[in-house]
Amino acid sequence: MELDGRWEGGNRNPLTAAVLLVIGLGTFYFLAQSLLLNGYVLIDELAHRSSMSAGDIRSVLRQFYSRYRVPILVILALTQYLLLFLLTVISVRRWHSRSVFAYLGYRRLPPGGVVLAIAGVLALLPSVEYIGRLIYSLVPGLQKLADSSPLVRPRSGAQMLLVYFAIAVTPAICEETLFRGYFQRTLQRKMRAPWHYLISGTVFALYHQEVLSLPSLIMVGVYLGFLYSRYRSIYTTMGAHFAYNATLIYLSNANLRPSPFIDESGFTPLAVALSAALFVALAAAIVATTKTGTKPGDAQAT
Amino acid sequence: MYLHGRTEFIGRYTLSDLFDRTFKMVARTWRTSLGYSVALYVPVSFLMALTISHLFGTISDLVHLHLPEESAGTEILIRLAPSIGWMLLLALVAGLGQLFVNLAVGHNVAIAAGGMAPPPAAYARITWKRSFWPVVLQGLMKVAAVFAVMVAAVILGGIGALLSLLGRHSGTIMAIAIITAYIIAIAAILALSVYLFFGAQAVVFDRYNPYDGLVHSVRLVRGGFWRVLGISLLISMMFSFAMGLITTPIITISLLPAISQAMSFAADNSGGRADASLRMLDGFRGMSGGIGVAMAIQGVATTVFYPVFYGLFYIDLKFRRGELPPPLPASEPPASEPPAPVPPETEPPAAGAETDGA
Repeated sequence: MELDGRWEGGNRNPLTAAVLLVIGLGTFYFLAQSLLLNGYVLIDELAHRSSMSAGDIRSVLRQFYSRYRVPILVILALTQYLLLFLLTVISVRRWHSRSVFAYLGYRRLPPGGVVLAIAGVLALLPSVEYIGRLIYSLVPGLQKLADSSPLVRPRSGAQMLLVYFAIAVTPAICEETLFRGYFQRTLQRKMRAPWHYLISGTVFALYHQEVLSLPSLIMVGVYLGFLYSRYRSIYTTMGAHFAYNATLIYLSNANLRPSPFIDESGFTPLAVALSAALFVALAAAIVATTKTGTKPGDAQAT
Repeated sequence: MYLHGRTEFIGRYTLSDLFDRTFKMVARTWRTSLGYSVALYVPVSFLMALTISHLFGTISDLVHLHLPEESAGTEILIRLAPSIGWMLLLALVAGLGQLFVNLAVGHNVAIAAGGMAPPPAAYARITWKRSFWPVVLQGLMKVAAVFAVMVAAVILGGIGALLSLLGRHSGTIMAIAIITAYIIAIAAILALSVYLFFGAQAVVFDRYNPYDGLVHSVRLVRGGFWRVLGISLLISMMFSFAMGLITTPIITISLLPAISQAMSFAADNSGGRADASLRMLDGFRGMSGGIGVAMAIQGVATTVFYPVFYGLFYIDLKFRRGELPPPLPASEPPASEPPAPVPPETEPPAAGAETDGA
């Protein structure tokens, strides 16, 4: 792969490009999302003279999401594909290399790696959910709201498909392309492990703008970065990201019977302990079955 | 007068170059930026946090007191005045301090771009001796210019309103006249702020006097107005977003007790309004710490980035006007002048002696 883009000439630092693109795309992504969604809600409210009835905030939220679920999900998917994915691809082509997808890590699907990556993220999930629940328990008012958020609990099958497409498939493609494929890949050119995946995982978590879920999101982001660093293929992180989000949607909608591993509030401490041990074993297996992590300057060599 | 050397920082920049050189220059100026801004923002932010906490405490006390209606207004004003006065004083100190620190970093950028490297402590003296008060005076001139535009808009709107009284559809014409004057005023203030933007850099980099610095800024921006406006807007949006990513969690965490209270009330619809207000006010007191930390982070980051970016933007504009020597050839090593403790004293060019090319 030849680094023949505009940024590569003139002794420019690729880290500057990485920081700029992530901040620049984030600025336009959130601006566009906010303008589109607020504009839609405003026009709809003006046209229909607010059919939402007053009540406590949970019932207002339920009414809001059941009314605007489809536009929210469509706008979410649209802005992700147009701004996070497409602009990343265009920018990489102009700034770094005409071999865009090779630069981003779209290559050689390692089947065993994808299986290990997905198993690892599913093993991580109970710990992540448990930590999130502990933090929410410190703020009971918000926990009531979080419990009643119905965005991912649609009533029809068609809407459920849309939920999976917008919240599981789309971020797995678009966010992975930006955060692992571009951002971490570019950081790897100048930084050593674990710094590049610690930074990309933290920025990924901050992007979600969910303060109480920040520690959980950092854990997931760092794990996805670790996978990308080890396998050097974006398909492993896409698989893991999809599996994580899809499982969360499934758990939000499933009526699971209480067992030693799960109760009405979520995963039990036993499930968390066992899955954490499994996660450590899987991470060790990933380390054992892959080459040594990337070193600075690896991008030029591939 | 600093830019007589030929370094990698002197040249015509694309937007990518501007960002790239900014990050490279930050590697040379961060000691000055960090040292000065931490010295300013840590104490100021701490005092501001204490004041905000005290202000919410006073409001909470006032709610508890159930003041009689006839004297409530005066009582509230008397009790809140010290906190508000102290906040205004702190804001003034922070504003002037930020100007001083930005100018010091600006001197560092100018000196580093010229190929010299005095120690960070020298910049405070240089700033105090050469640029602080001239830039303060320049700021007052800018305020006066904006005020003049606003007065002109009011007069224009007034004339339109008077003329409309002579016509049949006076109300409509009056509204159109006032709206037109308002739009013209906004456009004029925006144009003024862009054209006068580099006045401070002209004082720092080229030692112009305040008025000539503004004239020089207009001359540099002329012909590149939209580029300057576009880049400035882009950079402020991106910087705000980046700062939001960092400071929003801090402020939100400090607000959590109040948010939790609010959400509990909203979720249950229980409790009286006064009780809810009191608990919310107590929650807001906790927010002051978060605001202080966020303010300190934002202040330090602003000082690290903005003076460097706009200093290099100024160099780019000067280069485009033919006021600087051609850039170094790729093979030639950067100028290796011996570090000078204080840059040489040279007279600024006469304002009329500049080239005015495209």
